[in-house]
Amino acid sequence: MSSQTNETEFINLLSSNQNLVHKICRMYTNDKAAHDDLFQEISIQLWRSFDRFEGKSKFSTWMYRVGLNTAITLYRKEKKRIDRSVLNENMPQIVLKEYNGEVDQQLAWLYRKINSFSEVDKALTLLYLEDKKYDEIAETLGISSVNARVKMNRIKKRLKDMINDRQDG
Amino acid sequence: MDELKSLKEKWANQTFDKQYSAEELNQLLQKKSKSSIKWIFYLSVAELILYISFPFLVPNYFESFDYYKSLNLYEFSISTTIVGYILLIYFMIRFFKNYRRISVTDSVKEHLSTILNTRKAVNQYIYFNLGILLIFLSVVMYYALLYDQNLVALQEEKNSLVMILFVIGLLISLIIGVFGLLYYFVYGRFLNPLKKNEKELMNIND
Repeated sequence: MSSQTNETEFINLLSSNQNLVHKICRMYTNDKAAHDDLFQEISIQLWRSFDRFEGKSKFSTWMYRVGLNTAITLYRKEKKRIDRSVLNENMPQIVLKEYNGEVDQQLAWLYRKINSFSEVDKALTLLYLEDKKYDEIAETLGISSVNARVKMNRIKKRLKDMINDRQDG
Repeated sequence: MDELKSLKEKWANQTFDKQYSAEELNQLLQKKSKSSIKWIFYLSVAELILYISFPFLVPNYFESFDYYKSLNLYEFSISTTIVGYILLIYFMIRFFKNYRRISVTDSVKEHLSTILNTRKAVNQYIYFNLGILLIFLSVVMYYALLYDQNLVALQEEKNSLVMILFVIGLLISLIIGVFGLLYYFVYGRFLNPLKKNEKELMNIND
């Protein structure tokens, strides 16, 4: 396969799966600029390792791995070191300005909550929300299926508690 | 209706305003990566180049060996210089190997542990370097007190060994402190994002 067709194939795949990358970026960043930065870095890393993706695993599994690895370990300028989770709770309008056009309040609330999770918990939450099978989660993270099941139950409980708190509050 | 279920449904059907066209994606791919590991390797290469060109940049570099000779420290100064270079090359190879081995296609757990190895290597490198500098400075200062005619005369004149030792101690801590800070800022920049990952890795295992 020539490199030209390879690149075209990759861009088509990325283009049709870009919402997955957007979800990761939205989970791991706090504003539009950081989102775009991470999107770019994930795209570059995906393209660089594209020749190693030999169709052994599903395209989405491979994408989760590269995307999450990149998001967890990317060098980020930490100039705005304020606790966003607290800030966002109090000033939702600022968040709406940073992430323009996000209409669904429930999703906006969910993302705000997820922002304060640890990096690994973010990864677990993504895989849970994406309704992945335990085997695929285990393969993505490099843990056993049993462990993956335990972790999914934990995340599920955490999300449920969050929803209950919200309704009570 | 189950709230969690509806949340999951919304999650599955969410859309994003920004949709990159093929053209835009192509442009994104032309930009430079911001990966930290790459920078740690580049820094060590820059440092090696600086070390190698150092003797030629500093005007009286080779004459300083004459001074060490007068203190009976000629062999010592040569061997610490050589050890410094060996150390640098050893760590550069390690950084390079890490750089090659780190792969975003690994599982998240593997990826995190490779990253942590890199951080360990950088920390070791910094500690070894500061250690050698500390030993070198202490030995040179000690011998200077014994053999440097100016210092010997000063000791006799002022009759205050304690004061001289104090000044020397201060000087050494200052030099080590400056180098420590330098390393902290230069390498620390790229290590910071890797720092928190240690806890994360424990998280993934429990």
